[in-house]
Amino acid sequence: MDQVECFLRRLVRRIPTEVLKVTLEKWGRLPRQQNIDFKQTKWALADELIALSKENGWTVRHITELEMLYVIDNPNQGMWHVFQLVDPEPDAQAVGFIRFKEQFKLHLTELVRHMSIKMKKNTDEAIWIRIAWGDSYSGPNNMLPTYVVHYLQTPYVFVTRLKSKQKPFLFQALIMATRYKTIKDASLSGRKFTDIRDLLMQQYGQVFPARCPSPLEDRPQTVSHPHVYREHAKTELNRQQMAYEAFGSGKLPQLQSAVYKLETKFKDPTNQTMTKREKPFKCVVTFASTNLLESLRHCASSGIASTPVTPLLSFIPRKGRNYFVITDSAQGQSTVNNTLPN
Amino acid sequence: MFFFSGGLLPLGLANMLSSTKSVSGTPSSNKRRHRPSRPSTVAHSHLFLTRALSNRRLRTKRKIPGLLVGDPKQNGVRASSSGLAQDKAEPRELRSLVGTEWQLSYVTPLFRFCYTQLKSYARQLAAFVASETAAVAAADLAVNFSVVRGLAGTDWDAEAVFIQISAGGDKSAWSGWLACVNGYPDYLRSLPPDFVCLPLLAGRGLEPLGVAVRSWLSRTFDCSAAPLEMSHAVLQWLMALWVDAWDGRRRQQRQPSRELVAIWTLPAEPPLRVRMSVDSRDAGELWSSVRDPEALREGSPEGEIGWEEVSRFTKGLGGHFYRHFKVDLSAGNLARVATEAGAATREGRLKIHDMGSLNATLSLLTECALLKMPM
Repeated sequence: MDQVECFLRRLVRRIPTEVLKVTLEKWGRLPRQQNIDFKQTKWALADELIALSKENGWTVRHITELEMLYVIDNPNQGMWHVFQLVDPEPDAQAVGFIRFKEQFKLHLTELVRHMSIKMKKNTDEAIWIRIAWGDSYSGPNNMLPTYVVHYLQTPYVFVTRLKSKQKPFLFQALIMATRYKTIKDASLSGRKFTDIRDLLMQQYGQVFPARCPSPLEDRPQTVSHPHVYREHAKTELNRQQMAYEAFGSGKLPQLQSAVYKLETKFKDPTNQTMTKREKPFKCVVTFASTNLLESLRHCASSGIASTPVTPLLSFIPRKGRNYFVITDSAQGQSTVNNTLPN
Repeated sequence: MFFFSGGLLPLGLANMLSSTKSVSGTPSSNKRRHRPSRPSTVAHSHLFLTRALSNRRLRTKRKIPGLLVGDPKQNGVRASSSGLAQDKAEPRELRSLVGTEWQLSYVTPLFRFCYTQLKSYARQLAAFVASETAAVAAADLAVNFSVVRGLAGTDWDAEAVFIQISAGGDKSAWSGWLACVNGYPDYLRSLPPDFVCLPLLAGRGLEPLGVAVRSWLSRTFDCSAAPLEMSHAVLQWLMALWVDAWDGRRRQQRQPSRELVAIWTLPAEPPLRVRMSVDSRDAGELWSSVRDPEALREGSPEGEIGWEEVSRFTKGLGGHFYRHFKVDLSAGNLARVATEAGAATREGRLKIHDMGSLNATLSLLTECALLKMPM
C-alpha cells in the first residue's frame, strides 16, 4: 500500500490539475458518484485519491494504467531518442500486435528479472510499451519507467528515459520480437514526440509548391505609388522559394537542436598556414532554437543563410536526423556519415 | 550623472582638457575600423571633461602579460611580469577573484570617497542594507570594506576595494570589488582631486543585496552604477586574450583540456543560437596563424596583440562555419565565450579561471566600463 501511496502522490504532483481531471475521467476507475474537488491543493488532492485507492483496492498496476494514459495523451515531455531496425528477416512484415507482444515480453523477461511490462496499442497503430526495470535485489522501479513506441510495419522505435545499461536488453528484445537482425541509432532526438514522429514519417505539410505565394502579394501594400519599384522583390521571392523547397511550407515540426561534429580541413585562401595543415580542424557546431526548422527557414528566406540552402542543413528534414558527423571524402568534399553517438 | 560641486571647471583646466588628444599606441590605431562603442553624436555638453571619453574607442593594441608559472591553487601566485607587483600582491583576496562567477557593473567616479573611512562606510552600508532589504536579518549582518593592493596597474589607478556582506557568521551573502586596472591615464589625471575613479564593480551573491549596494554607492558618492554589458567587440577581445594565454601555455608543454566555446545568437524568428566548440589545440594553431609575424618572435616576454589579429581570428572561425553551412555569423552577435582561461557572457557575467590573464582581462573590462559610463 505504501508503494501505491508514493506512486500516486508523485503522479498527482507531476500532472497539472486540468490534465489530471481529464485523465482520471478517461481512466474510469473512480466511483461514479465521487465528486473530487480539483480546486484544492495538490497535497489535499493526493490525500483524497489515496483514501479512494484504499477503499477501492487499487494496486500499482492500476496506477500504472493511469500514468500510461497520461503519457500517451501528453507525450511531448522529456527527451525522445529514435532508433532504427535494420535488415528485416523475411517474415518481419507478418509480425502482428499479438505476436509482437508475446515475443517481446518473453524475451525481455528472460533477460531481466523482476520487471514489469505494460503494452497498449493505440488507435493510430502505435504500440506503447511501459517498462519498469528491476534487478535481482529489488522489484520493478515504477518511479523511473522507460517508454517505448513502435509503429509496426515501420522500422522506427522511439524511446525515452532509457539508461545505457538497460539499452542492450531492450534492443535484444526488440529485434527478437520484430524479426529484424539489428538496430542502430537513427541520430534523431527531440523533446516533442509528435513532432519527431511527424518529421520521420514525413507526415507534415512538406508541400513544395510550384509557385510560392509572392512576398509582394502577401504583405499589405504600404507603398501604392506606381512609380515606386521594389528593387529586391525578385531576389526575395527566389530566396523564399528556395527556403520553402529545402524545409517545406506551413507549420514545421519542432526540433530543438541539431549537432554537427565537423572533422574537415580548414580551408581559407587568406590563411595559408592553416590551409596547408594536413589534420582536420575539429569542432562541434550546435544549432539550438525553440523551433529549429522554423529558424533555419527564416534564415534562408531573409538572407542570413545563402541560398540554395546547403545540404548539411536541408538534410535535417529530408533525412529526419539531427546528429551528423562531417568528414572530408577522398575528393576533398565534405561527406555526412552515419555514426552512432553515445 | 556626472556631478561635481562648484559649477564649471576653472578655465585653465578646461583648456588643457580640450586640447587632449586621444591615446594612441601606434599609427595603425588611428584607423578606427571597428564599431564605435557609443555614437559620437552624444555628449556635446558644457562639461569639458566629456570630450576625453566620448570620442574614444577600445584600445586597438593590448599588452599581454607573461605566463603563469605554477598552479595558483597549489604553489601560490607566481606570475612572471604579469603586472601584479610581487611585493604588493595579497594572494588570498586576488585568488578569490578567480574561479567564481561575477556580475559586472560600471560605476561613474566616486565623489569624496576616502580610503581612511572604510569602517564608517561599512557601518553605513550595513544600516542601509538592513533598512532596504529583507533578505538578511539586521542582527546577523556584518559588512567589511578592505583595500586590496596589487590590482592597480598604473600610478593613476586607484587601489581596489573589496566589500563583503556576511550573514550569520562566516556565511557570505554578497561579496564584490571595485577596481580600476590600467585606466586611461589622461582621463584619470583630468579628474578633479575629490573624485576617485573605480569604474569596474563586480559582485556575486543575493541579487537584492547587489541592488542595495549599487543604490548605496550612488547615494553616498553621487555616482551612478548600472549593469555592464559586454559587446561583440569586447567578447572577441576576451576570446583572443584567453586563447593567447593558452597558446603560450601550450608552448610550455602544458596541455589545456577545455575547448574554446563561442555562442552566437542570430536574429531569426524564433532566435537561433549557434554554439561552436573548437578543439583547444586547433584553436591555438588558428590563433598563431593569424598573428603578425614580428609578434611571434621567440624570446619576447611581453608582446602586444592588435585588433586586426583578433578580427582575423573571429573571421577565421566564421569562415570555416560559412564554408559548411553557408550561414553568415556576422549577421548575429557573440553571446558567450568560454575557454580554459575564463568565460564571459553578453549580459556581463564573468568567470576567470586563470590568474595569469587576470590583469589583461581586467584592463579590458576597466576600459569597457569607462566607455560605458554616461557622460
